[in-house]
Amino acid sequence: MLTLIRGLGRFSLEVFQTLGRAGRLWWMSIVRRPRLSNLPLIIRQVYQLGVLSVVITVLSGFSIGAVLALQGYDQLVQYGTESALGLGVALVLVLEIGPVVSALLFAGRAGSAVTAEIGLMKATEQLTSMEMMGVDPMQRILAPRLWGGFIALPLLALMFSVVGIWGSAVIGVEWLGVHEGTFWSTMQDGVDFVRQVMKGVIKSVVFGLVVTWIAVFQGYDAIPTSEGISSATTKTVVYSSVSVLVLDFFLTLMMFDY
Amino acid sequence: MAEDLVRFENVVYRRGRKTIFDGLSLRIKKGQTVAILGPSGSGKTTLLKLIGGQLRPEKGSVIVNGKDVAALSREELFELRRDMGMLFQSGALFTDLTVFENVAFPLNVHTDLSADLIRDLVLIKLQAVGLRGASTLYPSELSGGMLRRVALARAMALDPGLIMYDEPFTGLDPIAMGVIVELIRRVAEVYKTTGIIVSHDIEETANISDYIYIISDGRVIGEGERGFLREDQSPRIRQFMDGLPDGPVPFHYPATDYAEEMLTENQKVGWFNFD
Repeated sequence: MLTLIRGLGRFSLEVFQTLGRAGRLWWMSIVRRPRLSNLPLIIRQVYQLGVLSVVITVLSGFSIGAVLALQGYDQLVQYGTESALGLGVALVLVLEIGPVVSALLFAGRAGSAVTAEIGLMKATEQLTSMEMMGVDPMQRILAPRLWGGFIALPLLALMFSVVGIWGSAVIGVEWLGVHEGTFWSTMQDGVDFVRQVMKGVIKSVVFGLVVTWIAVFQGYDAIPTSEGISSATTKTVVYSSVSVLVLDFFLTLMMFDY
Repeated sequence: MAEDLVRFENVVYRRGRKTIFDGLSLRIKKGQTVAILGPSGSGKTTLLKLIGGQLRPEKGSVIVNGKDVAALSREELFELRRDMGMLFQSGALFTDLTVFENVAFPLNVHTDLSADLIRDLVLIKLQAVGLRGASTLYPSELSGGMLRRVALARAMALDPGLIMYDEPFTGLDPIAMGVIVELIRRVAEVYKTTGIIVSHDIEETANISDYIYIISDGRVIGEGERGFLREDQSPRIRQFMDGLPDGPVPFHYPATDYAEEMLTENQKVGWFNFD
């Protein structure tokens, strides 16, 4: 029993220490002294994390939109309400699937890459050598990646939703024969920019912040060995995915005033 | 008499329960090349990290250029480090930058020089280490000796007052080692840079050093100018110099009695017992 309590205590201490270190990293690299001179580095990271994730985002978005159209049509047609297909797919994509799935994809592609990159820089003493040159790696390496991910993910989520809607239109209108006019007009009537699209954008902004924070922190905090980096990369994907799904629930709860 | 550039005053430093330095005191004069010799694990690299302010002593003080390193703010520390160069054992070059970009990095970050001038300065440094022809290569395309030469060019980029060399000769073939020895010697002669060489390669290091410290068990166990190593008869220094496997630095890691352990029953190792 005593061992159990001791173990629990040690675990809680470790959790708080980790959170403290993560908070300090956030403070030191972003809040304390944002620098305009970092802009070219941030743009490079938006390219690395965002532009290079476009292909998987577009492919996944199209596939999910197409599947939603197939599944939705199958159900709706039984009640003769297939005209609402466009509205249903758009709402599901913009509010839920767009932000969540793009965040999960982002954690898998960009998040793990950031962790491994920073972890390896630490293991090969590149961060130390930068410090010894009088350059702060928090400003030079961590901050641009945090900003890059934070900017890139909401854009990817929007792209995901747009391509998803296009995918559902290709399947629903072109293939299954839903009337094109009703498909688009129900969507136009039912999807409000502030009440629906912005909620999705807010979600993806929060996810962008959390996923890149986890990825950057795990890399920076990794034990500088091959085992340490592999474990940090795994943690990034697992923690990010779980955080996105849990946060999605709370954000939905908050934004819909239940 | 030249003033001290670096001074350790009764420095105590512990990592976990292990005491790395237990009242270490030493001084490094401006313009000198000083060797810090000692067996593996004696804290030589830790000493460099204390000078660079990456670690802070538990007690005592590390004074660099008249400033107590532990008392400096993060910004002041980065300011101080601009006058230091460090050659890492692994080279620690930025792998996403070419040789040219690596050497240009400190110049780009810390100076307002024009791109043309930076180009000229980088080419001068690369010519000095014999690698001007390799300027477009990436670190992954270089050999161990070349990596260290580029790292030296980068450490010299801002013409710092102090260059620290962390095990500069480890793992090099005789030709590459000869090149690095010659380059370190030339840097000291031409630029009058203060150099601290941390190493366990006695011959090469002693040949290019003005003054030598030997550290072991967290303290300085011997110091003097080049010749003293051959003359000093204390058992610790003789063991280190003559490469004796056993002596004041014991061959065996501390353990329980050998006979007693051999006679006790086999214990389960880890989770599985492969009996």
